[in-house]
Amino acid sequence: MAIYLVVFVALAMALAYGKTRAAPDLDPAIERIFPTAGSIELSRGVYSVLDEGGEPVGWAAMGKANGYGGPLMLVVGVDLEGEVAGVEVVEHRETPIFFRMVRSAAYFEEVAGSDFHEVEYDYEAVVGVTGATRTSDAIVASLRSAVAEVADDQFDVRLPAPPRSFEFGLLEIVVLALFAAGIAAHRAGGSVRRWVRWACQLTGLMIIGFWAASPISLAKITSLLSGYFPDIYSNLAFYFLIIGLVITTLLHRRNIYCLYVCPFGAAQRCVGVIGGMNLKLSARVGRVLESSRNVVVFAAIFAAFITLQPALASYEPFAALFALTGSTLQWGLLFIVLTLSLVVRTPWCGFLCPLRSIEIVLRNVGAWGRGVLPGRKEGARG
Amino acid sequence: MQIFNSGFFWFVEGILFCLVLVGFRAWAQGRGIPLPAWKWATLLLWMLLAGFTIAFVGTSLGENEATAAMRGGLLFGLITVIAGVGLWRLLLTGAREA
Amino acid sequence: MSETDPKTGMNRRQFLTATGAASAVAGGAGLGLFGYAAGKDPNSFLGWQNQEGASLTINHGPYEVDEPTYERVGPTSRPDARVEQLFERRGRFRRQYMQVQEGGEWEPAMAAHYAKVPEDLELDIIYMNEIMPALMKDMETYHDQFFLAEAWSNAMGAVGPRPPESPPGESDFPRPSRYGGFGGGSVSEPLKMKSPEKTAELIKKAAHMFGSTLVGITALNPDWVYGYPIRGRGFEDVNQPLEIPDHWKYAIVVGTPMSWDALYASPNYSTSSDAYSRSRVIAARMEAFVKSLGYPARSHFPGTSYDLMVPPICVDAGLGEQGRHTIIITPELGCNFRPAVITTNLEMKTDKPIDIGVQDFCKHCKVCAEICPSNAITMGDKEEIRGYRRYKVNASKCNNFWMSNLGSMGCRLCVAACPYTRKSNWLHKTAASVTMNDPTGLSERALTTMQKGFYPGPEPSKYYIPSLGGENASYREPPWWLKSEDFIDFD
Ligand code: SF4
Ligand code: SF4
Repeated sequence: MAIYLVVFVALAMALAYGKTRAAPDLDPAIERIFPTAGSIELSRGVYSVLDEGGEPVGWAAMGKANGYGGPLMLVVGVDLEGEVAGVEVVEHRETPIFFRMVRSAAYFEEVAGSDFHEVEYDYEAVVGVTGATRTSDAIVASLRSAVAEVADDQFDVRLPAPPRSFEFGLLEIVVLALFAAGIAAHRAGGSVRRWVRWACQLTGLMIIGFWAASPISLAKITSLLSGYFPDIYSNLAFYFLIIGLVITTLLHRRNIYCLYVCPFGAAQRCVGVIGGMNLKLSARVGRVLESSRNVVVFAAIFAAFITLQPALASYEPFAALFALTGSTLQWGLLFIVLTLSLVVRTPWCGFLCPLRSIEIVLRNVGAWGRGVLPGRKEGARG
Repeated sequence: MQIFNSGFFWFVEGILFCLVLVGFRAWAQGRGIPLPAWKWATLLLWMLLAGFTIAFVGTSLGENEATAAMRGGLLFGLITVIAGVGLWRLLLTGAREA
Repeated sequence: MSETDPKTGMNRRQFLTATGAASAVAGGAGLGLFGYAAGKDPNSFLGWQNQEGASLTINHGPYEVDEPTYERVGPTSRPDARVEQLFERRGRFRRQYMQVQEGGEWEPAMAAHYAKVPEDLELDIIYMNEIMPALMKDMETYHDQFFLAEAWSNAMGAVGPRPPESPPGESDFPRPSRYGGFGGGSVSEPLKMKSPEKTAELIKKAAHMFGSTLVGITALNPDWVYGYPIRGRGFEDVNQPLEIPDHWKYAIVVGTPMSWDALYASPNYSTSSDAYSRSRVIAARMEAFVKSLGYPARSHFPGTSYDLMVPPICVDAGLGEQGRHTIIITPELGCNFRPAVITTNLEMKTDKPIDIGVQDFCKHCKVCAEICPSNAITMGDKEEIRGYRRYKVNASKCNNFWMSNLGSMGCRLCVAACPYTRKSNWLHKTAASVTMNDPTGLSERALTTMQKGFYPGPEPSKYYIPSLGGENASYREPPWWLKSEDFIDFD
């Protein structure tokens, strides 16, 4: 456990460092919104703005969303009466012309002065432009989240969430079905387990792999850990996958995701069947490879936290295989891993996959939890 | 370079292709491997795949598309290698002991 | 069977096996070299091979359909070219903006348009107040780098006929020669043709002889003719609706591609003027040819001398389909085709429109919309525009971007990046014919994925000039003959 402690502390520090480093200085923007501002204090994500005499003038909060060229960040000021005092864009990577083209200035002018309850989150209606762009979507989304933050914190009003519905489609159904079948088959054992596993993996390969190209990746996990939650309405499948991974790992000794769902595992096994050798590496080599993998995974997450760029963590070749995109490193890895799979049994899963490191951590934590919790003992699984 | 776009080139390529088939047959006979029609068919398909991969890389380089050459080469190369290993195992089926 | 050759130490079988192995290596290497040669082959730049129409490497027969692949969904109307034709509106904007700032009024058509589409006013002002100054600034700094691109463009555009000088009723009609008849003869009636089929054959051959890469013939749909004249040629009242003359019955479409390797170096290095110039010349020749037969003819040619919208006419004439970027996609040249149109009443057999699967392909592909630096191409669905359903491109945004570019100006990135705009070699021709014939849509998905994975280009925002936040990026490296620094000593 001691080593875990060290690892967790190091990662937490990296994340904290990354967050402080990435936090932009909002004061100038807030001062433009509230020209009388004297001092600005931040607590729980909301800035309280006081004038020279220490009297409150209003509040401000930051909103963030992904635009065309990257994150777009803006600050909304709300005065004591609850009127929007102004909107300032703090950071965006849109080209200036893009930005002007979406007529953001006109939109912000329209928004300023309205009560925070009544802000019109319909960019197209306000500006009279049809055909939303990623930039205008990002503007609206970040405005909404900033206003909601002030409303919640200062006026104790929870703004209604945007009217949205869950996107529940083929991918979601497949993910749930695979987990269900996997858990059942894993308990059944024997030849049922073998055949169901093949059926599940081939389905996963086709649907989660080639069709949707959305296996779990280290980048997605890191971004979760660093507090960026992908939109749940449109990413249900991703949450199903993560929850399935965590729960089955905690309950079973192996996680069902890797055995039954992961499309890349399936790809390696298919190649393994073609190669027909299924060698296993010697235990010593295996141990060395596994510990070096743990180090790599740690380093990858660490780097992603420090830079706050979850994509940095992703060294998996999944995108290269399923979406034909990726860095040269990932393409090379893909070639090597799948060629190796002809000879060695699932080499990626065994020695390279970051999920295995995470699985080990989870499993140990789970075992520890079972040991600590009264009434549940190891081996209760049957 | 233009020679590789000429009719003469394909003439030579055709001769080489025949030599490969003859050589393959000699090799298989020497090892007592039977060669039914389906083996020939899969072999030809695999040669098409391998040839496509090589020509894809060449063409992409000629077009100055280095990324396409690299990624396409790795992807199609991977498929060729995996299919080649599978084919190899199929080819060896039915071999007499020497 | 087992005698061993004393020289090689091999028996016959071993010898054959070894030869086979060596041949495999040599044959494989040969294929690689063939590929390299095919990739480099200048002949894979279709367009100028010969005058036999042999570059029409694709038989349209199997793809012919009775109805064009755009849909008619409501009552149709003709475009008000004064404000809906971008160049025309920008011209008016430039002339009127100063007066408006000094308290004057927009002329009624402009005022009405700006009231209807306020975004266009803002975009026009951005163009004037932000883009032009930024361009002037960067032009000085980067002039040298794009010197040759500009020079080529100027040179390529140097030749061309003049726009018509009088209304269609006059200028379209042939003038009898000094022998009193047409075409150097003495017959003063339009010549009697044997059959529309024969005439079409002759016209198409002529088009190829005049240098046209592709040619098609259709009956002219009046919906494509502008509602108002745009040319401002001085002989007509631009605020009077444009009457469609009776003799604009048929449309002949001709055209050529732009230089391929310059196109791939869009936006800053590429130019439209080479293809523009060729298409203009072809159109003028065709006009003269038809007139010589005694029939009225008028050519509508690029850059701005049109009385009609060209892309839908190309669709009607069976040359291709309109893509998401609204440009015509031909099976032969992809989107790299710059057309001109000749209207006439010479009876000809018309071509049928074709369906090569573009409508399905564009639904998912979106490569052009993703690369478009000005966000002008929609990511969404088709919309109804003047009674027809098609994708919408915001011409004002598009033009704002391309007015900001150096070199010859313009952009053409959507043309260059579209997966259909590939060289004409075994690889891309095979890929194209696979999609054209695959009804399942699987190959479209696979090819789109490959396009995005294998042929990435710089991010959209990088294409801007530095003053507008970009890096002067181009989609591909410019060809050697456009690199000014390799030829000119600027110091
Ligand atoms: S020409 Fe350029 S700016 Fe215009 S639509 Fe195409 S890609 Fe966009
Ligand atoms: S790039 Fe794709 S979406 Fe755009 S026109 Fe070409 S095929 Fe259609």
